[in-house]
Amino acid sequence: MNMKSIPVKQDCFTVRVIDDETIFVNEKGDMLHSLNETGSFIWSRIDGKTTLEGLLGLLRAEYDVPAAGSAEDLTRFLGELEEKGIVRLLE
Amino acid sequence: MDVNNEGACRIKVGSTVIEIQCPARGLAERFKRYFRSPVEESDTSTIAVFLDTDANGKRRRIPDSLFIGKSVEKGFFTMGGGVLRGDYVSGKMDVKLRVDARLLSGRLVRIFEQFLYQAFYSDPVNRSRNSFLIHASGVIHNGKGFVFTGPSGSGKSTIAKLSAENPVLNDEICLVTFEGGRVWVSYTPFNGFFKKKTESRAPLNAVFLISHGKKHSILRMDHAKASTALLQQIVPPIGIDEAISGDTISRIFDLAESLQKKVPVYGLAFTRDAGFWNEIDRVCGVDR
Repeated sequence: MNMKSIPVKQDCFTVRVIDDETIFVNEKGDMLHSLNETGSFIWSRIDGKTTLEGLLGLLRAEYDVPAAGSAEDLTRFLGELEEKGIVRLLE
Repeated sequence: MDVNNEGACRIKVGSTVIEIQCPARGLAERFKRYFRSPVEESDTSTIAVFLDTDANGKRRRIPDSLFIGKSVEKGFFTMGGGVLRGDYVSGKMDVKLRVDARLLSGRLVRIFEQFLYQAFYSDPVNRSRNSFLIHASGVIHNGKGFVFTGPSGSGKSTIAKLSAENPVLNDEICLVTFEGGRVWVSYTPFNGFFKKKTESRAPLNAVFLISHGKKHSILRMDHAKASTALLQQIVPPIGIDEAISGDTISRIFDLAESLQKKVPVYGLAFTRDAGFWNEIDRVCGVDR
């Protein structure tokens, strides 16, 4: 994964936004993952076209994100989603 | 499949009457003793299940769930990897069912009950009324209904035992219904091993997500946490002719959210004494 990678949402989960939280549930009704407000913001901007670099720009425009470490945080975050099968990353 | 019916047991869940036509009179009598469901002669059966047993079939592993891994195709369904299979035409309200005989005796009857949950949901009335079954013990306390839910081992049966001074609706499966702008919790005949049930219903005053703790304590739960916890305890609202899908999960979410709009959801940690009722009275303002 690099900053040119493009995350693509996988549609094998039911996704529900409750308050500021985004919840992913599998067919058994088990919660697989939940995202806080910032995670939910990133999730909402994943459109299958925007690169990690683009997402970082959107994140910085919306939130007061420190320059140092934010790319690593975003990469780690999307790596976790990829591990759970919630997104696929196109190189 | 050929079904020779020797006796029937009828059970009532809300307004839905499920008639189980058994291949042997002894089985029908055993079901009657197990469910002890009070059904009036005048109650019309909503759905008829023509049961046959499969005693000599392939010995399959008995699953925990008849909801997961279910297949439905052209009026034929299989559940639990084939331990239960049958024919059902949507809307016709009668089912021909062949069941691995092991599911009809001992504790495994609880697994068979999962088929009956789906029979309940096959009654269109339950969809239109937004009724659902929930893994919970239900108690009426000073005329108000309380639901205690949580995963296996969280203490649903313990709560029921500790609440014996109050009418207990069930210690495992209760019915929740949205009706006339209110939410009701009702008795169900399920989990026939628990005999001290009261056939009644009451307006639902609060829902508790329970856990064992070192002292009694109650905390209001946030919306998202409560929804995800309830999601796992609401019995999936699918009829016999439906398999679980993303739509089912969305529907469960909708039910959980509708419930939360009308009724507060709390986390309750409790110890093994009835003192948690004092906490509930304090937090929920129940008058004695």
